[in-house]
Amino acid sequence: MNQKQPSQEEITEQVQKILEERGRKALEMARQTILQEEIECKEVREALKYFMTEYWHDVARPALLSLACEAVGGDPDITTPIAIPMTLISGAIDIHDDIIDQSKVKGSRPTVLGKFGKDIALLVGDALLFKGFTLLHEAVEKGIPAEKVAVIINIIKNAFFELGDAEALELQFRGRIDIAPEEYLNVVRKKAADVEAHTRISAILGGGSEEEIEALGEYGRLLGIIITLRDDWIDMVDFEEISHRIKRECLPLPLLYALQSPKTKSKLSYILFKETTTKMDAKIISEATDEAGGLRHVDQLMQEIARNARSFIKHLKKNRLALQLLTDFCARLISFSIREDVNADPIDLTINVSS
Amino acid sequence: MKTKEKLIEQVQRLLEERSQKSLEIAKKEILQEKMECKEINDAFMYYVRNWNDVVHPGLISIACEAVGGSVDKAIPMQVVMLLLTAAFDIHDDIIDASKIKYGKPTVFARFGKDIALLVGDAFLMKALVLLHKLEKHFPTEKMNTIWDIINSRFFELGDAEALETSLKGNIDISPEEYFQILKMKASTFEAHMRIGAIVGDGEQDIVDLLGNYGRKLGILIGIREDFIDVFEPEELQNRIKNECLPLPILYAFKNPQTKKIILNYLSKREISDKDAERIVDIIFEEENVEMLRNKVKCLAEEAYAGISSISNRNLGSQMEILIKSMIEDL
Repeated sequence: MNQKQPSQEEITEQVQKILEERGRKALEMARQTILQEEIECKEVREALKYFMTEYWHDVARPALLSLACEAVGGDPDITTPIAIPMTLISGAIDIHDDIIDQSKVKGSRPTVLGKFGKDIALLVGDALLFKGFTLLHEAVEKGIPAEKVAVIINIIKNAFFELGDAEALELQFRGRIDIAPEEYLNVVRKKAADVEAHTRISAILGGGSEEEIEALGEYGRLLGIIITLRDDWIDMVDFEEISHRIKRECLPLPLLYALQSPKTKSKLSYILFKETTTKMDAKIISEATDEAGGLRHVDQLMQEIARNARSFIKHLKKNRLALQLLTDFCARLISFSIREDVNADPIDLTINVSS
Repeated sequence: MKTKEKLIEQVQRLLEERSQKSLEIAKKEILQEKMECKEINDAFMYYVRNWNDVVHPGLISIACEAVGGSVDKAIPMQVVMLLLTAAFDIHDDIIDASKIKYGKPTVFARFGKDIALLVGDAFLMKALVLLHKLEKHFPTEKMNTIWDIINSRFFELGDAEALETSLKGNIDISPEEYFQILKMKASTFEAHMRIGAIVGDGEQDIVDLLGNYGRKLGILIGIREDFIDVFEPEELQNRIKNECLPLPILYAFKNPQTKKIILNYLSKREISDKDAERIVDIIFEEENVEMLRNKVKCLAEEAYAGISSISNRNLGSQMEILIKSMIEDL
């Protein structure tokens, strides 16, 4: 019997529902906690309020904690005292990341950097990091055993250092068109430390076995890689994003693959070194990338990683389907031709899975 | 002159003795973090090579001993606070665009904003992780208080930085307004003294007393640094562009005539050594700056009075020397 495959819209709706149900509470509590801080400087107060109420809608990370904890038989509610600080720490990393990448707008919203400038953004990031760690200290009082908190903090630290390393390595890719895809994939893998930390921590909180903790850790790392590759793919069809990537960051992976072809490289070199990227340039870049097979290559890579990721969750006690759906959602978006869509409205992918 | 040198040397030696061990450990801790990115490793190494903060760990040690605690017991906390202070120092240099400090290029100047931001983050993360590790060594109640102090006082520091940022380039700021910022910035010195006293098992009243001393000492350090900046043309130009004007200049600005003359010098594209000398002369002749000097004297007197009840006289006199060294030559 042929079972009808759910459409992209149906998957999006289901994933959104799961993430909302699982992640909203911790996000709201994180908001309340940080906004309670007494701060004299009006600008910092406003920046914190803006970030936490209008900008940061990341329900995915706390939801992932909840899902993975339950997946090993744990009570998902026990993740809340950890989800709150982790939400703040992730927010801090995101704000500092925007300073480095000079990202002033993301999606349709100005970033804290874009709205309040570098200095305030730096201080707000520090404040979130600080508060996040203070709350981790308080997690013991909220029922998380001290020895588990110690292990969790170590995981967060390692992930944070790996992310910082990735950021620093990525700085060396700016303005370069000769980056080997493998070199960039090494950075992508490092960046996925954040998602791995979330799934690993939740498996520990849920009392998972060594095997379960490892399996969920591996799953998280792979999911994190898929999320970055997905962003890279989307950036190829978004004029603002591709322009920003060319100017301030590393070129997206589909383009790096395409540039492996000498013909494509000679065609695009001139455009990629131009001062400003026009819409027409972006169209040429996207089409040439597609023609050279860069998009297909990344798509195939994502499918392969998704298959691998699914293999790590097949023995979980619960939530296999939800985690599979999340993986599919992240990996399956690309089923249309770039030539038809490069000039269309931005793709509607409202779930903020990545930062 | 000889007495002056002796006093500074004395303070340096006193603080060095109390800080050396923790500074070595802090350096090892940060260098343990091996990154793939060479630039980050180089930046860690660079900071560590020039890292000689003896004041902050020295204060923890003094406070700990002043309440009868063993100085060795304070070492792990000194390490945490060294890393934490370094993190804010590195980030502060990005905000202030400070390129030179103590005669050497900052991490920001040498490696750029992005690496400096990541290095500051790494120090901050390392400090907070080590602080968590101390949970095993101290009773929960004590750790709760320490977390509370660190959280509130470093938030106050961030708040002060932000207020200062909002006043960048504002030449009409009142000295009182800027003094308030200096007071807030001194919060970390208060934190160090409080934490040292808590680690040494001090009673609440002496913890408060030492905390107040720390705040006053911190203000005096801030004012002293502001006086020094008046003598440094390069630093002065950076202050005009990226920070608030030093407190003595703001006091001198209370006199509209003096303000006009100094602004003439400050508006020059480059301030020569001769200009700087003239600015110094004008400031030191200005009556309003005398008001600041009196304020400094009062603060110092209050600080001395506050510690008069310290039973360990040797420690009391060490704390007095610290204050004295801050007001010398002002």
